[in-house]
Formats: sequence, C-alpha cells, structure tokens
Amino acid sequence: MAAISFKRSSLEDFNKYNSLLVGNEFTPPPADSSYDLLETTTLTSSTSSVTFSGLGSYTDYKHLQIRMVTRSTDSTGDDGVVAQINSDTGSNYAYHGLFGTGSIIGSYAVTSASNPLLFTTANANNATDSFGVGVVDLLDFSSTSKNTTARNLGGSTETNPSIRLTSFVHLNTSAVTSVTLLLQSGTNFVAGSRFSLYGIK
Amino acid sequence: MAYELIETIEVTNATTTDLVFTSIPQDGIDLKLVVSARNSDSAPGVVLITLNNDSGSNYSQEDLEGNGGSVSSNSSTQGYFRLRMTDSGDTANTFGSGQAYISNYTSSSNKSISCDRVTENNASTAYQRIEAVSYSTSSAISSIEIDFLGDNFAQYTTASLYKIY
Amino acid sequence: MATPTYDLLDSTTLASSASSVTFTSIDQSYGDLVVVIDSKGTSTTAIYSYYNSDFTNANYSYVNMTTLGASPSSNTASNPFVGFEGSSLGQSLSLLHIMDYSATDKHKSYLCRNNLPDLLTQAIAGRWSNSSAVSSVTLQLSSGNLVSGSTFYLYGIAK
Repeated sequence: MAAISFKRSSLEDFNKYNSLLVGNEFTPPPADSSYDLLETTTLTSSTSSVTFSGLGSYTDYKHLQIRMVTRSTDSTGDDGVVAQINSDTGSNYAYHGLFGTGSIIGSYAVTSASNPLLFTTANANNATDSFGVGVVDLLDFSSTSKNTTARNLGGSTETNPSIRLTSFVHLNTSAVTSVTLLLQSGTNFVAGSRFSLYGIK
Repeated sequence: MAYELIETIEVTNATTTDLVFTSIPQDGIDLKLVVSARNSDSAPGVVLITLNNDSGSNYSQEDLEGNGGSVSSNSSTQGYFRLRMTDSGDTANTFGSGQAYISNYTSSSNKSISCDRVTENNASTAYQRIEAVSYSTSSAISSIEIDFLGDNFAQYTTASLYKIY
Repeated sequence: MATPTYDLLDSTTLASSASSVTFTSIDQSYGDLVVVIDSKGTSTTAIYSYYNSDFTNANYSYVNMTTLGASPSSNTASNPFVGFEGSSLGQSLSLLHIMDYSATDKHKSYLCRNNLPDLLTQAIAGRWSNSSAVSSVTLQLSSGNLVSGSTFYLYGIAK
C-alpha cells in the first residue's frame, strides 16, 4: 500500500508535536557504573585454592576489590587466608598487620616472605556454619611501574577471634594478571566459601 | 548503581607537589577518596588533606596505628587530616594504599570521615592505621586538596574520587 | 560479563528521635549489604545491629580493636555491637558490611568501621549465629533513642 501523508489522509483530528518528549517525563540515561561485579566463585565442594585469572582483560578498571566469606577444613588451630600474585610462590612478598584478638592488640611484620596473610578465618574447630570474612583492595593493579600493594580488613569471631587491618607488597612491578587465595594450613576451603571480584574505575 | 567515579588524578612526573579535586558535583550523598601515593623526596610520607581549601584547626582526629612491631593511638586537632603513604626510604617502587570515606558531604553539619591506610616496605617498619576525623564546617565539600607539604609526589601516584548516592 | 552494582536499597533520615531504625523486606538478590550510619548522638552508647528481629544478644558475638580508654585495646562480647552512637562533637560514622547476607548455609558475619572523632576509632568483626537469610536489619542503641538528624543508608552489592 502506498504511503499517504497526513494532509491527504482521512485523518482530520490530530495534533502535531514538535518534540518526541511531549507527554513523557524526561528520563536521563543511567550514570556510568564505577563498581562492577566481574566474577564470583562459590565453592560447591572443598577446594584448596581459588584463582582469579586473566585479569589483564579488565583494562576498563583502575582498581580491584575481592570480597570473601571463608571457612577452612583445618582442625589443628587458627588458619589464615593468604594470597599469591601471578602464581608467584617465591619469597617475594612482605606483609604487615594491625590486629586484635579480644585479649591482645598488636602489630607484626614479615619480610621476604611467601604467602602473605590477609586474615584468620573460621575452621573445623569452630561452630558449624561460622565463616570468616575479608575485603581486600588492590589499587592500580594493572600498573607496570609499581609493586602491587594490597590493603585488607578481615576477621572472624570464633574460638580464637580476630580483627585485622593487613597489607602486603608483591616485590614485582608486573601487572597483576592473577590472584590466588589459599589457606596457610594447606588444607581446603569448605563448600559454601565465596570469593567475589569487583572492578572499580 | 550508586557508586560513580568523579575523577582520577595521576602524577606523570616527579615535580608534582599537590593534587586537587575542584568543583566536586553536589548531587551525591557521600564521597570516597582512594589514594596510592609515594613521597619521592623524603620521609615521612605523610599526605596532608584539606577540604574546601580550609587549613584552619578544624580537623579533629583519633587514630589507631601499628608500625610492624607496636601499636599506638593519638588524638589531635589540626589544620588537615592525614593519610600516611610510603616515602623515599621505603622499598623502591612501593606505594601506600589508603581511603577516606566522607559522609553526607553536602550537608550543613560537621563532616564525619573514616580513614584506613597502609604503607608497605620489605622491612620491619610499615604502618597500618585506622582513623576517625571530624571536619568542623557547615559548608558542603566542593574541593579536596592533597599534598606532601612541599615534597613531591612520586610519578605514578594516583588519587581517585568517587561519589556515592 | 561485568555487572554494575553497589545499589542504594533504602534510606532513613530521622526527623525526630527514634528508638530504632529498621530496614525490612530486604531484596535477596545481592551478596553483601553495606549500611552507612551517620549518627548525631552525643553519648558513647552502643549501637546494635539485629537481624530478622532476633533481639537476643547471646546470639551475636564480636571482636574489636580500638583506641577507647586512651590506650589501644581489643575486646570481645556477646552482642551485635557495631560501634558507639556519638561523642561530644555530636558525630559518629559507622560503615557496616554484612557479608553473604542472603545465604542460608552460613552464619552471618560482618565487618564494621566505627569512628568518633574526639574519642575513638575502631574496627569490628561480628557474627549472628544463625544461617537464615537476612531479611531485616534493625539498628538500635543499647539504651535510649537514636538522635534526630541521624542518617542511615542501605546498599546492596551483587555477588
């Protein structure tokens, strides 16, 4: 059917608008998000480590944050969540912490170390279903001019409770392409442990 | 989404003595400042922060700090608040990491600020600090000034400012 | 694929003093909650964060590191402590992170930074010994009322 203009159509009762917004409220476009969930791993069985890899693809982001809820299968004492950058298992880290255990408060330093400690978590000695928690920030993770410095707040309220502000430096200026989280005891994270990676612009 | 980058400043040479955020948008609720910095000239690497270019004794603060061996606490009222960063005496290429969360920054009440920051160093001494700050003002925050008191920021220092709304 | 997150779910600004502030019917599609409490109180009265109307303090525990008492210390107790509500400056800022709140296979753990600029700063880890998903959060003082002008913001972070 050929197109017919309104003027020559049988439509006589119409209104002409100069704006497509007439009758509609202006809805501004959503603001650009600067805090994005990139990946989440929630364990369905006990696992010795969790690795976020391929981080070089996250070029849109300036910083990374990892939020963790963890429990260990270890039953021999306190257990800590530790990190590795770019699969580096060598003594190429230094780490420090400010901590409180409910009875003591202190600060510590470990130099030329492997497996820097982030926080102590719940384990098999603790109440069923109790987990430790931690939030770690990696600023300028893709820089090739800076050693990677991490800052973490974490803790748990178990038989041996603790709260910690910790940090570590990876003594290498390579960009961060992977982060591995594992346990000081060498045992496993239980099923239900959750690790979420966020990109911040 | 309620978390939006306002601006990132990156130091591209070693002759930058201050970082300034101006004309901060007034349509947010809170601000979050994230800093990765190093003092290229001397120790200590204490970054001084003022708001609205106000260097009067309007910043009350309480801090808890570890230094890798012992713990201390301090209270003071000064013309700035601080985020201690690494300095030229610390392990090369190593920068501090800190954040300052400013609540209700457009309100007409005094501003409450929560700060966490760490330095790092392949040595015994490095600093971990949590700090509470009050900025006495009835003005909205429209600018943030960050400096090393005349010392230079190391190249690759960054400061990012976010609004939360 | 990246998912934009950090969403404002609810907020309250007290127009008059109130015994408590409660966020109810919390959206269960997120992973963590962030509660920002900017209190205008003037006393060092404890703020408690209760979940799902469980007001039994013995079901909660916390550990902190703090400057209270002019010297650094660390404490534990059985209650849902997230900080103190005020100081002589009439200010307190608390940043409370409730982790994995919607999970049903774990107790609910939290981290909190509490700041009273003329008195103390502290970091707290706590736990509600219940594996139910958190559908409500009630903030109230151990005694007395929350002060007019105090603000409470609730954010959700996806997992």
